[in-house]
Amino acid sequence: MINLLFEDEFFTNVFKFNPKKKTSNQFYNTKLKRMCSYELSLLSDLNIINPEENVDFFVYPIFLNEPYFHIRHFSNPDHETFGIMNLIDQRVATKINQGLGVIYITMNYEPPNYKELCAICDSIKGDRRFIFNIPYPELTDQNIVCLPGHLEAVQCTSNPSERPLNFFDDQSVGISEYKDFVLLNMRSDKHIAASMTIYLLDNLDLLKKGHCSFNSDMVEAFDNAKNERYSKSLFNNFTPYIIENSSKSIILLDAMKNSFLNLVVEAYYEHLSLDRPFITEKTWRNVYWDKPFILIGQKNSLVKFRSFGYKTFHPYIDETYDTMPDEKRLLTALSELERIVKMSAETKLELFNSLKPVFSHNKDNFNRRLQSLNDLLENARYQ
Amino acid sequence: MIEKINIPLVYDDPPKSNIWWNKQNEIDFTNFHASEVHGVLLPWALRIFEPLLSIHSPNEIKDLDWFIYPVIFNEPYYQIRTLTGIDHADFGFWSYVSSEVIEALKAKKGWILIDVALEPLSDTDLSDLLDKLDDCSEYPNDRIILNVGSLTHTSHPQIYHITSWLEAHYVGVLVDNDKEFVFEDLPRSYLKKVMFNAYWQDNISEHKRFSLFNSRYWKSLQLTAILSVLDHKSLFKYGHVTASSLDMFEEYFTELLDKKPEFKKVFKPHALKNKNDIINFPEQCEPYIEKCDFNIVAEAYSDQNYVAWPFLTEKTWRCIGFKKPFVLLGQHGSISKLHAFGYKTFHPYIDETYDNEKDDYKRFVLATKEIIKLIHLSDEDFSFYNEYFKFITDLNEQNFKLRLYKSYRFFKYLSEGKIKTYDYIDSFYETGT
Repeated sequence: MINLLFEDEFFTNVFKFNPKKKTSNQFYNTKLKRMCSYELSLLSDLNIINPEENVDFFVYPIFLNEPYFHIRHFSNPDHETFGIMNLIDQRVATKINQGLGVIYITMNYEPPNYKELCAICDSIKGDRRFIFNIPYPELTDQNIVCLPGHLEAVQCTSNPSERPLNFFDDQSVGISEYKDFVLLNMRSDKHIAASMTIYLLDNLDLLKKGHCSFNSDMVEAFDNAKNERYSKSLFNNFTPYIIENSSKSIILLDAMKNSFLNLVVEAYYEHLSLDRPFITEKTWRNVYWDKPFILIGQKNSLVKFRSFGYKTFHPYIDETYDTMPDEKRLLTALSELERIVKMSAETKLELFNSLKPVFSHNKDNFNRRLQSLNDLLENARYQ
Repeated sequence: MIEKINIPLVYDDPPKSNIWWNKQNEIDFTNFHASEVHGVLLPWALRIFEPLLSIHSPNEIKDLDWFIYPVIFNEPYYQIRTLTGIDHADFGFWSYVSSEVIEALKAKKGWILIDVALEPLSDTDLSDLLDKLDDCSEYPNDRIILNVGSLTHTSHPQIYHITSWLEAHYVGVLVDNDKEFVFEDLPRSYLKKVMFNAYWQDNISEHKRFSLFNSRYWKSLQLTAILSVLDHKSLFKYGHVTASSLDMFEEYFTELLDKKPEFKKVFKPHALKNKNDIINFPEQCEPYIEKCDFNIVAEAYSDQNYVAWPFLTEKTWRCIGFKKPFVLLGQHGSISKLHAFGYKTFHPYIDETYDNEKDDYKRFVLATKEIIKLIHLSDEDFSFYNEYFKFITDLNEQNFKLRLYKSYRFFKYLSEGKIKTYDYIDSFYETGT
């Protein structure tokens, strides 16, 4: 049994979401009936307790969904004013210091600053009061693990219609036509590659071959993306133009069902804004949907994905683009998309059948990773 | 005499502090921010003017001419991200401020004063923050004013360097309890905090040449090396010297020397042979400062690795307050910073060229040379020096009063809805314009 201790009946421990802003419904867990990181609800034999209850051993979960704001509280956990041990209920802290509980910190939702994280991992290594679940396998240690967090757990296990919130519910459109690919890129302004993907697909006359969502005003999106940090050598001579589209997002469930391949535009493309690859829901969701994908993301994103034990699709899909520099990666990835789109229906079916072992492996891999987390938290008292 | 103003303070949920409220911020009157008069925690930049303050809730803003929304920012390392991520819906600064306050700020009726007084805010973090404050499209970021220690942005209209906790408390003892100060009928007795009186040790009979409060010497090599030098020359007996965990001295010294080759060429780790001449850390250092000729300041930061600008702590400020000459073992530019605040120091009687030396080892050597010189001066020679030192420390008393006037001038401008740069306020009394 895993005793999960929460201080509040509704909110996450310590770093509470702002109830006035109502932006965090996506973290409401219907099974546990509270805000929390989703992977917790997939664990078996859970028992929710509060600080007044006495048990042999408990796990005190902290969801660090915005590590930028909160990671420093772990750099000196016993700091008398702002150290994490002094931000939690003192009854709980005392028990943890006595070895009767452990703090489980999950920070896979947004990328933590790598340098800060390294320093913290160094200092808490072997500190039995903490288990860190982080998105960087190379930093793992006895009490620092890289196992499913919120995004991976949500996307690898559940159908979007069962998830608590769809931001675009009021303007989404359903689709029934089967197409070669799906491209969910409503935030084409997020980085320059996200914008350029739309223009390059337009040049290749591929937009009509996919279920594509993107910004209604691509000129504005391109200009906004240019204001983000990016290498000026990328696409700096390009003049954006208006591209007609429905300006509506598409229902994820319909789009994934009715497409052969997912063209994933990840949240980051270059290393200027984030110095190493970070996998988000955009990639994780393909595991649940048995969907082959081509990834427009940071260099070595597929390497990163594989470092979690998942497999990708080379040589059936040429993934050499993944290790190419920023200037080449996008164009090469889209050339591979073009090659697949031009395949006959029979060849596509053949390709899909060849990839079935990968899909199966990936689902198993997620379950193995989840089981590892389950075992870790269940046996934390013996560590 | 300047016209007196009222300074209305708005708290979202008094007695809770604005923005950061945790167990350690509860109203506990041993907390140095706690105001018994107003029943809230006050930033010291404002507490100096306690009799002028009044406390209000957001729904009283409509009845006020202007207001300040005070924020205590004592641990910038932990707190800064709330500010640099200022508009984040869940964890950004504005998500903690009530809508009444935000609306009033948008209407240019008040100011947010963030007093960064206890620990240093790094210039990198401060620059990131100033970039954020430039954008007022969603929130009234132009109404945020920071009181900081770094002098990198003296001409920025939202950055100030007025008197706050460490300076006000430790230099504030210059102000006599019975004197009225700054304004007519404005008693300043609270500047001389009760703790100095309640725990004052009168039983220190022996006057010594120097004092050195160096309890946590292991924090830096300079602080460890000075103990080594004084021990080697058997000089502890001429001073009130504190240092704890002396059994670990050799081990700490070894660790620190391994990181600084230029010191390692000269020093060899050793145990202290004269440790019996070192006293236990007293409840109050200040009575010992009074009973000595000069103070060796073992500052908290000794190089520019952690904080790139000189950060002065109570270790320096109490020398000004207790009118003692000092030699400073710390960051380069520390003395210059005092000068920038208008204080005078002791050159040429104490050669302070060490302050300009950027190399840690060379600076240490120059400062130590002066320390040894002062210890070896005859009583007669030192009393000759003392005449000059007294002249300097008297000037500093006047300068502290001037610093308070400048702080008051700053608040007066705010009350009039004006924003003047620190440079402008700083030069006001010099130019008289």
